[in-house]
Amino acid sequence: MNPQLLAVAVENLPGIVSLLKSAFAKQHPDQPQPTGAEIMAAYEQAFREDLAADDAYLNSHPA
Amino acid sequence: MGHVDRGWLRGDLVTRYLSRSLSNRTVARTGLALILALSLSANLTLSTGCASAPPNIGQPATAAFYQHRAQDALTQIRNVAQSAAAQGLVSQQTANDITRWHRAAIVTVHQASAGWRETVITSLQEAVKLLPEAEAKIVRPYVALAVTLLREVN
Repeated sequence: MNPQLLAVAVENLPGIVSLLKSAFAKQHPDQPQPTGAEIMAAYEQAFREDLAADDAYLNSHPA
Repeated sequence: MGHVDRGWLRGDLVTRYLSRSLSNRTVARTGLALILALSLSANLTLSTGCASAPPNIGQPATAAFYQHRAQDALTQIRNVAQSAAAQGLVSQQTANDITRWHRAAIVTVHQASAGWRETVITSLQEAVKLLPEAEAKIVRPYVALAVTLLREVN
């Protein structure tokens, strides 16, 4: 373990917490539920954004 | 007032003591322990039940809900690999390989063909096996977390 590894852990901790929160979040019955269309649109947008991010990273970081 | 000042002083001394006594190594171990604890809590909590898709949204939206969750777990691995490359912990080649794997994996999830979950998990485990051991050790805790979440995806 070294400070760089800690930096990686700290940098990615918010993403991990967010991941776990979304995995464990229980919907309260009174809470407004997203519609099916909203869920599908959010996924499609995230999919496109992640693909674009991968392509941008690979283009800007030749090995 | 004097009491408050002494209290503040004590707090300040404790902070300074902790700052000195907690070496980078100790703090780094704490970071890894936190990640492992998160993985363990994910395992334990998922065994008791993961949040499910909202009811009454239909099959395509339910599938999208779980595909989105799977993609987020995979993206976390890519982010860690890219951060590790930026810190010089893994080679740029490794970060690029994981990024290419991530791209292929999220396309597989998006296509949602039969058995996509096992396909993605197997490809992830194979990708990690190809890494040098020192680099694989860095991503393994995150991979374990992602695999746990993927196995819970319906």
